[in-house]
Amino acid sequence: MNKLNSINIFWKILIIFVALILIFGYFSNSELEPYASKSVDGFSDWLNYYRELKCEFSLFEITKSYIFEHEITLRNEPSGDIECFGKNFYIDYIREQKVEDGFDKFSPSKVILRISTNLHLDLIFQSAIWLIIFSFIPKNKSNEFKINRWTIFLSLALLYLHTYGEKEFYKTLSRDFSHLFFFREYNNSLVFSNYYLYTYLLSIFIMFYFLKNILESRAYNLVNYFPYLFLFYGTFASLNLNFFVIVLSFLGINKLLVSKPNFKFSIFYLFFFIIWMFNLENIDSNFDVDKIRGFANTSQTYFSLIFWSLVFYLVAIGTYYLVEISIDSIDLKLITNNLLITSSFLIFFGILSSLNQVFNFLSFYVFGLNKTGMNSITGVEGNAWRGLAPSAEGIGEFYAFVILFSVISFIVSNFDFKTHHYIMIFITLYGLYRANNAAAIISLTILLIITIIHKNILDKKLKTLVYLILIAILLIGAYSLLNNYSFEFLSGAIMYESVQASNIDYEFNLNQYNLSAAEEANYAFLLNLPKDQTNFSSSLQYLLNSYTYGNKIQNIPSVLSSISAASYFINRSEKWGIFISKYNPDVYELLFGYGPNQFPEYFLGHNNIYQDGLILPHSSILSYLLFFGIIGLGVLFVVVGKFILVNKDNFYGIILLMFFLINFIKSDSLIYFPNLVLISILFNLIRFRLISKD
Amino acid sequence: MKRQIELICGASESTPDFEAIDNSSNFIFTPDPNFTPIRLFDLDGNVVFLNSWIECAYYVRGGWTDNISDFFNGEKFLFFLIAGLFIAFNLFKDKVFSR
Repeated sequence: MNKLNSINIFWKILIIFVALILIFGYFSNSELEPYASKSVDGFSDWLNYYRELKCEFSLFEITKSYIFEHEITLRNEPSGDIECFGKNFYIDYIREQKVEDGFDKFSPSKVILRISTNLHLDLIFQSAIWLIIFSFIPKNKSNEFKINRWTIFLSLALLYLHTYGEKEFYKTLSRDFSHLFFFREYNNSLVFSNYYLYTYLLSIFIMFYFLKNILESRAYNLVNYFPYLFLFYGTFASLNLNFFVIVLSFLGINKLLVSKPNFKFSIFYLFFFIIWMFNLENIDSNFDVDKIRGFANTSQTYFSLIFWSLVFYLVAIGTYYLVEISIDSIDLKLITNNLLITSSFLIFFGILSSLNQVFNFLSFYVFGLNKTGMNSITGVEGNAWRGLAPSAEGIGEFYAFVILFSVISFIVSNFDFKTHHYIMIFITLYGLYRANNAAAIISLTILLIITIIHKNILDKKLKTLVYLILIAILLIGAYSLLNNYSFEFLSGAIMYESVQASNIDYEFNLNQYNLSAAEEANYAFLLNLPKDQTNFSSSLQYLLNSYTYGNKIQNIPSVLSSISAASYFINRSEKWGIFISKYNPDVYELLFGYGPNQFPEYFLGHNNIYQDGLILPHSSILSYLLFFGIIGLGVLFVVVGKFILVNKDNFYGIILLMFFLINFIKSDSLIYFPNLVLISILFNLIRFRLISKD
Repeated sequence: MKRQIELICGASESTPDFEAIDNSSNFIFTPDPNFTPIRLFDLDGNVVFLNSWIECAYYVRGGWTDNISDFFNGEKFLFFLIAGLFIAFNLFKDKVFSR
C-alpha cells in the first residue's frame, strides 16, 4: 500500500467517524436540558424524565446524565421514525431476577436504553459506510471487468421481491409499510404516494449505482480481502438483509447475464426448488430470526421462499464467479495477513465494546453486527466469550482456522512471519481460548500435528509408524473414557433428551421414586400412548420405534446408538435431542427439505416445550438436512467426497477442508454468512489449485 | 387518504361521502356501539374521542391523527432529498472529481 493510499484511507475513516458523531450526537441532541440528577437516589425521576420525553435526546446526552448503579446497555429500536433517528425511543428497567436453579443468586438489575434507528436511514448510512470501506480495496491493474447494466435492475427487482415476501416482518417496523406502488382512493382514482417503498427502492438503486462502479474497478482483488467479512458482518440494523449477501447476489446475477452458469447444478437446484414450492404451506408469518438476521427467512410465503432460494443460488454462483475472475490476482500471503488482522481486530474491538456501552452500540451499527457485542469482558456464566460475533462457536472456529491457515500458508507460500504477525497469532490464540470452542481447539491440534508430521517426516514407513502410534493412543484414550459409562446410558442419551423436550400432554402415574414413564425412558410404553397426547414429532416417533423395536445385531451398536454415544462426549445430546423433538417433516420435507435458509416451518410447525427464542440445531449437517433434506444432503456428501478424491494430492488444501468438515458436525457455523463464504472460497481455492505446494 | 383512514380507523365496507358532511351545516355523527372509540389529536395538541368509523374517517381527512410522526412525511422528504443529491452528484461529478 503506498503512502497516498494510506492517507486516503485515513481521511475516509475520519469522515465515517465524524459522520457518526454528527448523526448520533450533534443532530440528535435536544434543545432541552438533559436530566441532571444530583444523587444516585434520583433514578426513578431520571427514568420518568426520559420516558416522557421520547424522541428528544441523543445517546450521548442520556449516557452522560447516567450516574446510577444499574448496569446500562444500549440497543437499537428498528421501528423508529425518520425524525427520531438516533434519539431515545424508550428506556426499559429490568429488576434483579432470580437466576434459574439458583437459591440466592440474582441477575443484576439492568437499564436498557433503546435508540431509534430507521429502515431508510439505515439503508443509506450503513451502505454508505460499507461502500466507503469497499473503496479501501486496491483497484484492479486492468479495466476489463464490466458489470452488465441489467444487473442493477434485476437486483432491484430481487430486493423488491424480498419486501413483498416478508411483508409481515416489515409491517412490524412501520405501519406505513406497503409493497404496493400505488393506492386506490374511494373514487377509484390512483394515488402514487407510497414514499415508504419509493425511498426504499431509490436508496437501493443508488447503492447499486456506486457498488457497480466500485466492483468494476476492484472485483479482481475482492477475494484477497474476504476475511474482513468476519469483522464487517454487513447486516442492516433494521432490515432482514445483509449488504454482502446483496453484493454476492449482484455478482451472481451478472454471471448469469454474461456467461452460462453450471448447467447440472442449475437444473438440479431448479428441481429441488419446484418441490419446495409445491410443498410449502403459504403462511404470512413473522418468525424472529435473531442472530441469523440478514441471511434467514422470517416468513413462510411463496415469495419469500423464491427470494431466499434465488439468493442462495446467486451467492453460490457469485462466489464461484468471483474466484474464477480473480485467479491471477489471488495472493495467499495477502489473505493470510488479512485473516490475522481481522481476527486481531475482532478481539480488540470486542474488548472495547464490552468496556464502553456507546462504543458497543456504534460498533453494532458500523460493523453491521447480527447481535450487539458482549457487554462484559467475562463470558456467559464465566464460559464462552463471543466478542462482536453472533456465536462463540462460529467465531472460535474462525480463530482456529486463521491459525491453521497461517501455518499452511507458511509452508505453501513461504509466508514471511514478522514480529507483528506473531503478536496477531498470539491475540488470535487468546480469542480462541476465550471462545471456548473445544472441538475447534482439538481439531486444530490434531490437524496441526498431521501437518507437521507430513512436512517433516519424509520416510513413508516412519510416517506410517508415527500415525499408528497416534491412532493407538487415541483408541486407548477412547476406550478408557468409554469404560466409565454404561452403553445403555450413552446409546439412549439423545432419545432421552428428545422425549424430555417434547410437549407431552398425557398424565402419567408416577412410580415409587416419583418418576414418570418418560423420565424412566420406558419408550415401549410411550409408543403405545395416543399420538395426540405424546405430541412426538414424526422424527422422534420414527427414531423411538427404531431404537425400541429395530433390528439389532448382537454386540454391534446401531448407527443411532453410536451417534447418541458420540453426541454425549461432544456435548450435543441435549441440543440434538431438542432438534429431534421439533423436527416434524412429512415425506417430501424429509427427502428434499424446506429450502435454503428456511427455519420458520421447522420452528413454527411443531411445538415442543421450548416455545420462545431461536434454538438452532447445533450442527451444520442438521441445518442442511432442514434445508435440502436427505437427498440433498446425500448429494452434498457425494460431491464433497468426490471433490476430496479428485484433490487428494493437494494435502494442505484437504487439511483445511477437513477442519471445517469435522467442525460442521457439531457447530451451526454454516448458517452464518461469513462462514459460508469462507468455506465456499476455500473450496474454490482448492479447486483452482491455489493452495498447493506445487 | 383512503389508506391513511384504514390505517387509523380500520377498514370499512361503506364509502364515505365527505362532501355531504362538508355541505351540511348541522351534521351530527351517530355513535356506533360496535366501534371501539379512537383518540385523535391535531398539530396544536387538541384531542378528540371519536365514536364511529365515519366520524373517525372525517377527522383523519381533516388532518387529525393518532401518531405524531404523521404530521411530517419523513419518507417523502427523504425521497426528494436523496433523489436531488443523486442528480446533483451526477451533474457535477465530472467537474469535482476531475480536479
